[in-house]
Formats: sequence, C-alpha cells, structure tokens
Amino acid sequence: MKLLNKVALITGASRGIGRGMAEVFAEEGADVAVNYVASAKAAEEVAEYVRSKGRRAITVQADVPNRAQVEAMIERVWKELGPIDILVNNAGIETIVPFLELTDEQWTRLVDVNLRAPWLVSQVYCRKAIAEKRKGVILQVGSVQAAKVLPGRTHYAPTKLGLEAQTRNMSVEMMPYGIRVNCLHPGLIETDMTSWVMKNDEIRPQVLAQISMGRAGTIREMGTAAAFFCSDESSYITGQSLHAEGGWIGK
Amino acid sequence: MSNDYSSFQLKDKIAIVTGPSQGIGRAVALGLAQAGAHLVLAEHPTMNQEALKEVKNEIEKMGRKVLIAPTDIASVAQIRAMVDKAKETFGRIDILVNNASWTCTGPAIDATEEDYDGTVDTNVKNVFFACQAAAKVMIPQGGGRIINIGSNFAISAFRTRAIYAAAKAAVHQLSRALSLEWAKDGVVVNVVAPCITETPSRKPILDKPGYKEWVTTDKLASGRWNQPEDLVGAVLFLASPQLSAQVVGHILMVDGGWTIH
Repeated sequence: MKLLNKVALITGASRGIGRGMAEVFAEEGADVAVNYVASAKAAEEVAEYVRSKGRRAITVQADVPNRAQVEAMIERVWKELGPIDILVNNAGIETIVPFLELTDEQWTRLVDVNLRAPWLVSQVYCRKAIAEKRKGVILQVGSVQAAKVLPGRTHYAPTKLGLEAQTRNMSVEMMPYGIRVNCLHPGLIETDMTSWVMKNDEIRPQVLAQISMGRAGTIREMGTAAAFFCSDESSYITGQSLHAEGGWIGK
Repeated sequence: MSNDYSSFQLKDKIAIVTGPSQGIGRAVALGLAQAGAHLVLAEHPTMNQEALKEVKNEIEKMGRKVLIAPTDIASVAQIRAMVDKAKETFGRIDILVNNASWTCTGPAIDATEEDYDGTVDTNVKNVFFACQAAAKVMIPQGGGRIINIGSNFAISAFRTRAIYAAAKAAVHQLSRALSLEWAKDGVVVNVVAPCITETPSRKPILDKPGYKEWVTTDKLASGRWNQPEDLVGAVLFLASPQLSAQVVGHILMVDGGWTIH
C-alpha cells in the first residue's frame, strides 16, 4: 500500500487529522505539502516530521475558500514538489450553535469553508491535472455527522452530508480523466478541535457510550485509513464515503 | 507478485477464506498470503479440486502455510467444524472472509423454494454462523477482523436477482449489527461489496450479448469490468487492525461506481 514517491497536498495539515495524515503519508513514502491558514509554526513542525522520514515537505499558506490563494498554492506545490498525485480536502471548521440562534453570517462562513472550499480546491487541482495530463486521487474529509445528529449542528452536518454528494458527482465527472474521488467520515477523534469533549467528565462518557468501540479515534488512525484510499490498492473504489468512526450507534 | 503489502501488517496472521478456488475468493486468498498471512481454505464438496490445489501450491510457494478444511457451507455443523479445525491447527484466527455463496438467477415469478433456501442459506445463514463461530475464538484471544462479501445489488435493486439482493442486504445489515455487539471486544465486522465481477461463476451472465457493453457504459463510472483483483486491497485494508482500526460495521463498495448513480 505504499505511497512511494507520490506528491500529496493536504489542506489544514498543521494539526489534528490533517497532521495524522501527513505523518502516515510520509511514512508510506509520500512527499507532502502542508497547507495551513494561521499556524505557520505548527505547519513547519509537521513538515519537519515529514523530512525526518526522508521525504520532501513544504508548508504553504492559503485560506481555502479564496480562489486566488488556492491557485497560487497549487502552482507553488506543483513547481516545488512536482505534479500533485493526491489532494486531501481536510481543512474545515466546526462550531456549535443552536438552530434558533444561528445567524446568516455563521451559516455562510461555515458552509463556505466546509463545502465550497473543497469544491474550489478540487476544481483548481483537477483543471491543472487535466491540463498536464496527470491522473490523481482526491480525498474529502467529512464527518460521522453526515449520518448522525449531534446538537447545534444545523449548519455543520449538512456540509458533511453535502460532501458525500459532492464526492459522488465529482467522481463521475472526473472518472474519464483518471481522477478518483472518495470521502472519509471520521467520528470523535482526539484533536484540539475535540479536546473540550475529552476533558469534560460529564459529556465524554455520554459520547463514548455511542461508539461501538467505546473509545475515541486517533489522528494516526485517520492517517492510515486515508492512506489506503489514496493508494493504488483502492484503484477500483470511487465516489465512496468511508465511515472510520469506531461504529457510531444509531447512524 | 511484486505488490508491496507490508503496510497492511498482516505477517503471520491466520485467515480463513471460504470459496477460495476461483474468482474473488482465490484473489483474496492469494492477496492475504502475499501480505504474509497463513490460510485456511474452505473446500466445498462441489469445488474444483484441481483449482483449489493450484491456489494451495501458489500460497505454499510464498512460504505461507495452508490448511484445507472440507466444508459444505450449507451446513452449520461443518462451518463450526471448519473454525474448530483452524483454531486447533494454528492456535488462533485473526481474519475470516465469508466469500462463498450460491445464488439463483431468474424471474422471481419462477423461483422455487429450493432457489430461495439455497440462496438465503448460503448467503445469510452460513455467514451468520461462521461469524458467530469465529467470534467465539476471536473474543477470548483479544480480537479479530471479519469481512463479509456483500453486493451492489444490496443497494441497487436488479431484475432477476430479487432473492439474492435481499440476502445480500441481510448480510450488510447483519455485519453492522454484529459489530455493535462485538467491537468493544475487538471483533469488527465489515463488508466489501463488489458489483458483478469477471469470474468463472459469472461468465454465463457476462457472455450474454450486449450485457457487458450495457453495464460498462451505463452502470460503471469506471468504464471497465470489475476484476477479482480489484477486491484485494479493500479486503486487506479491512483485515488490517492497524490500517482500518476505526472502521466498524462499514459497507465498502468496490463497484466501479455502480451504486453512486
């Protein structure tokens, strides 16, 4: 399942799940472009880890809903690391706001980052790959919330379910060009974004009780699942959404 | 045989594969062996013994051990005996791939009770009891991975395959439900669901005039026919506790895009 000599661009890779993916990809032999928006120092640490595995790495700043920045990012990675073989649309945000309190601005910002940006980054990447006659693979990062209700996510959950449809539709349109598109749905993963759950003695057991495995996942476990979907061993799998969330009950 | 499967970390795992003499089962058994596993091959009474022997030889050439376990997959007693024999021989069972099945094909209006029982017994009943028997070994040893072969027809209905489609849908849901019960004990059940695959058993269907052209044009986004080897990566992934640790009760479609339309 090696990703030997593949070039991967992972958005939002300075921490959390994106970081786990960057680490595993490097161990499987890939060169990695670590995208970040604000955490330059953390991104550089991830890049250093990649280099410590004997692979090449660059950090590249871009706010993923911004087309000009995304175009510059794709061009720079292509120039410095070579043609991109793997794009992971990992960057995303999650806020918790009750339905009755959610504002237009909160809705628009979250949907922009979680749903329009993966479409935008994929489009810029695919146009470049097709122009350069390169095949490739895209992995979207969704959430167990595509199938499971959690409170205060009337804006977040639709973006993650929407990613499934986006994945399916892009996979069909990009198939003639040899670009596969799949989606990974993580559940509760131990990251900065979920530390408030893990630290809360009241909420944590309630959430863990919903998971068949009875524990949170790790960023490395997301990395290995992602690596499979970006490897040649999954070459007949496209348009799919893989749940990697320890078996959430009732989804 | 140059595939590097070391990342799957399956060296010296013990794997049972039912229906291993041809098609998907054969590809999966060889793939597991290439990844370093030792194999228990379930030998159905009507199986082509020459073909099975070839699979055995190929696996042994890779330096992996093989146990052939005579198993009529329609018999629960024989399925239990197969699992016992595997445990007795190797001391543990890490992976079970429920691949073998029989299916009737034809208009539902003409289906007989034998068609129904034959299809449901070899797709659902045997899978359930094989899972149960394996789990009884896997839970005390600390875990294991079960992979049931599902079908695109469990998702997408199809004329002439009503009983089979219902049976495979049952396999999908069975796998999810069993995961809920056993995941905490380390036993995870997942499904790999192919579309019709170019194998000896499917040949009569594939050879029907126009069928292949219709499917590859209208149904398969990939534009090409599913090959047994296309399933191997998915099975190895779900067999690997390291790679798919968090994947529990999942239906992994390997169908060239058939069910995404």
